[in-house]
Amino acid sequence: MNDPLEGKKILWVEDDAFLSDIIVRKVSQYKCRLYIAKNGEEALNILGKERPDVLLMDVVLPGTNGFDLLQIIRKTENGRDVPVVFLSNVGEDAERMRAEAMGAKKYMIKAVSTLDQIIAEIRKALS
Amino acid sequence: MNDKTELEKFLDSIIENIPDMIFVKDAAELRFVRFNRAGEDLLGFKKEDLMGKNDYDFFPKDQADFFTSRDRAVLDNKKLVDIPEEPIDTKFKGRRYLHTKKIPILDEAGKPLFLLGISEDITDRKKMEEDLRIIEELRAIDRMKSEFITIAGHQLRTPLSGMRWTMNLLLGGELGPLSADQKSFVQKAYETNNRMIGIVNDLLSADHITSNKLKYIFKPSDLGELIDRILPEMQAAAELKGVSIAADTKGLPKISADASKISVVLENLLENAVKYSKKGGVVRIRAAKKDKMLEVSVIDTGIGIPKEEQQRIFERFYRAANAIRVEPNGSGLGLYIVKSIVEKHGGKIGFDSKEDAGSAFWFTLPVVE
Repeated sequence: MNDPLEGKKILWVEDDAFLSDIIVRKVSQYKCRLYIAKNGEEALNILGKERPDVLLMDVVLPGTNGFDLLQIIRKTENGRDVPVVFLSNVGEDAERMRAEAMGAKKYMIKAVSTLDQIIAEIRKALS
Repeated sequence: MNDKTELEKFLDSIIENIPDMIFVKDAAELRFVRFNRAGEDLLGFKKEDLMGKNDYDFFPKDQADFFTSRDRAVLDNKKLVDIPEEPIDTKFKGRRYLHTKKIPILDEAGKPLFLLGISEDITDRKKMEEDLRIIEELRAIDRMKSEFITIAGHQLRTPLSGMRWTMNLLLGGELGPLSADQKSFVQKAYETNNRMIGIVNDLLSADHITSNKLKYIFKPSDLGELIDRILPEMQAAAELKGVSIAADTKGLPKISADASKISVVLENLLENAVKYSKKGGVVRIRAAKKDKMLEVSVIDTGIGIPKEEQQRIFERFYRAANAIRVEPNGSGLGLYIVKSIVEKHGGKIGFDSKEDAGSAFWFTLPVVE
């Protein structure tokens, strides 16, 4: 009964400080490594050094959007095949479909998801 | 002589039949010397009444001043003047708007003899243009409203998410143990926060419906699986109210549906059923094939819908009086959203309800052939 999270690297792109504090607190219970990026630039910096096993990201990001950022990430060595879960409060059908078309594992709405549901989706994306 | 009369008759009939007002004034005193039938219809004055008179005999001074000044300009400059829009007070048709061209008619020496005027009544066209402009303005306001709801909705959802997650941690004991008292208060805060999220979601969904932003992808879907997916959280919420949910939806044919939208339908109907049930109540979900449709019912033994309010409950923002008493907070948008989604699937929705006895909501969805 190994936790799929164990020993894994998570890259989480989240610009809201309150939300990222909660995420850090939640994920710290598991035996995995969490990298939080506040924007696209930080995400690409981390990807220059680390190879995450799963990527979580918002659609609305400072100076860019999750879709454009994902396209850039797909061109990096460490981000080429990383499974992606979108986690956003933008719930338009158009965004959801775009995420699906880009091969995202899941498109979640933050406000209607519990932390445990998000962790469950991360586990699913990892296995 | 006879020939000339024929020619005169011919020209007369042309002038008389032109559907725009034609008038001719003498250059010296600007008195009417010619006036056609369209002019009579428009102004309400007979030819005979006009002949030999000028504008001051028929129109308010400011209008007569304006007409005369234009007339003089035409005759002085010996050039056509185009007046795109001028108001005129008529005898029977009130104020009308004309597009008028005034043309100087000169003798061989180039001296003005007459002034010819042709006026088209543009009142109806002007009104139509005005209506279109108002419609366009209303559309712009609607777009702004929609944009506002979208932006405000998303801005609100972020802090609401933070509160929800924080309370997830607290209630999960992940920030240390809580006393029973603390836990019950956090639980109440969690539910209140969820209700706020629900209202924001309803506003966003209703706006998506009215501005046609919802996109549907119909796929063969298993209703039983859909219900299994949403039931645990709904049951947990129902238990807090001492209400249970029982689903009997096994072995059903596949339906053609957009699963995420049908989840919204089921969640709304179940939430309502639980919200308006009394302690110890049971909410039942049933489904059965009827012809080419699957009929799904959500049945409760709650407060019901008063008869006189039944026909209005699918309206936007409408909430029945007894529902407001039980639950003051609510967007009044849930059933509006539900109805729109069901109808987009080609289904129907309805209910049977009796006040203080309960409600049974049903909707139909097409079965995959």
